[in-house]
Amino acid sequence: MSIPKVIGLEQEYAVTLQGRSDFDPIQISFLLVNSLKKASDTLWDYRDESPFLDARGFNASEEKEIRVSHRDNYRINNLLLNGARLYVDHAHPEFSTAECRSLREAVAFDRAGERILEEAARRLARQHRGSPDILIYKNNSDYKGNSYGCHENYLVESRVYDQIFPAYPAYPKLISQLLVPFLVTRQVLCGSGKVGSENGTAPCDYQLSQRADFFETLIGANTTSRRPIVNSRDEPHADRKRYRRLHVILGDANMSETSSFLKLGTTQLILRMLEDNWALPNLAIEDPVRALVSISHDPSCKAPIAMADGRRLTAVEVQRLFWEPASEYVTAGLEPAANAEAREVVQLWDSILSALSKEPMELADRLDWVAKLALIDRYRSRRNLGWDSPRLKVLDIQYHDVRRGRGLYYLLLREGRMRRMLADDTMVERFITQPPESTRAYFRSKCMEKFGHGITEANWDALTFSVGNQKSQKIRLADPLKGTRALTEHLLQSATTPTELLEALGGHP
Amino acid sequence: MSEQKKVKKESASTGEQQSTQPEDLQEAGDRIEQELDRLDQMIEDALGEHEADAEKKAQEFVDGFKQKGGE
Repeated sequence: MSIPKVIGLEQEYAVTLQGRSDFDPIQISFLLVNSLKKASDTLWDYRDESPFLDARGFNASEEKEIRVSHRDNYRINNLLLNGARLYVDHAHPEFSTAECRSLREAVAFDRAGERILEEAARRLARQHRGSPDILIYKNNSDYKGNSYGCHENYLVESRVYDQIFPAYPAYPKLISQLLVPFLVTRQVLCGSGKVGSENGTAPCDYQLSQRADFFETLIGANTTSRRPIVNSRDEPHADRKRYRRLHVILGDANMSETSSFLKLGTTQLILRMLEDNWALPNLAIEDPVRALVSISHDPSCKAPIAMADGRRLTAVEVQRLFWEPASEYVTAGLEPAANAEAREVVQLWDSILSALSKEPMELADRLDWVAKLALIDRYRSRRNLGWDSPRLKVLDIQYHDVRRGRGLYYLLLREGRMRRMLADDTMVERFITQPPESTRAYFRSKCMEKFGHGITEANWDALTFSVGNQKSQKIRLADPLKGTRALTEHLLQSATTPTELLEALGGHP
Repeated sequence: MSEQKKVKKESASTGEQQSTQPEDLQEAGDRIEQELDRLDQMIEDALGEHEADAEKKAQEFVDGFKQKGGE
């Protein structure tokens, strides 16, 4: 039986200063991160991180660890009480969601991140009246060859993770035959759309993905250069003997809830099938990096790509070949709780693929890339503009503006032109301040809320308590499925001091 | 209502079917056109200052949208 697919998202936001081109994005990121009141002086614990460890059994860099001074650590990080981390990554404010157990939780938490950044900019505007407004965009490219990520994280059984990433130089069969073709073609569902091309790829008017132009290789632990379609960074943030984290860096930042739901839901299903040894087809692509770009540059979704076995299939046809076993898998009904959302994913995936194979523009109220294309193409036609008009790029960028009163996605939403996966904003509002209740994020968040002054360091899978003169004590949160409200609420309520909590825990939440 | 007068529109995602008479279609068309005009106006509002001297200001905005690579 597959394990629950705990999900997290990491979004690097773009920032600008209205009417100014001489802004410092790093400085703005620091201001945004620190504009929101910190719950405590707790620092981020970098000691457990291993971003350079490649899952294939080697180090991708001579660097062994991240070193950050105490002062910088405090300025870079804001550990939020909803279990998320808001911090400065490179030159971007990055919002990493708490660990979510359901797709709707993940979609809502991702949206809560937009609200938190929107509020951070609003607070800065109040504090610095008369200064230019800080504008924040949830996208992935600046048209100048710079890309920044929206990474997905999926909890995977260690056994299966090791099959995905066999020790180098063994042939990575599951990556070549399964993950790469799935991820390369997935953009028809969850691309965010972009005007033009960049990074040296062939010119085009419009493409499906914000990210496709930036990938150069098949597998690798890097994320900043020679970006790989499958990221092999082996950083589990959990007990590595049981769990690993599949870190997917290929995806776009989504505004559409349907695109986001499908991005996470279809990927989750593929991983569940792998864990349950479900029969999956060999869909190896002859040249995946080239196919990634050619699919992205074809909004008709009709251009075929060359498969390794000589077939020529469209991205929609490849996705359909993944959908077929997924449909059978879900119908088999292995786990009722996980299956309710999985059934929804399969139905939605089916209907979207059907529409894509007939007339993609029918999906203008569902998918980001189609909604944006419909909006831009209509504007372009009515004003007789060429695709090289900079006004179209402005529309493209404005689609991702997180301000609800200004962003074009939000305009479509207000006008009833985008369908939602969330019934309303109730869950989004909750996740602005509260953690999901069915993962360890609950325990981490509530400890921070109640005992933050006694917690010197924290990260995804550990809390370090330092109480009085006692030696500091690191509590491991090695199982993302534990530390839930059901398991720890009583314990957290009954402990009145960190010492009592630690005694009650005996070292294990 | 005869079957000939019905125009069936199938939703791509749900398979729901809607029936509409031609006169309704005319009204719906006018309404949609009005909504699209309003949408255009709202886009222009959203673009704000970029619309006055549109191409030049848009180019300035795009040029000024400089980010650094991340991840």
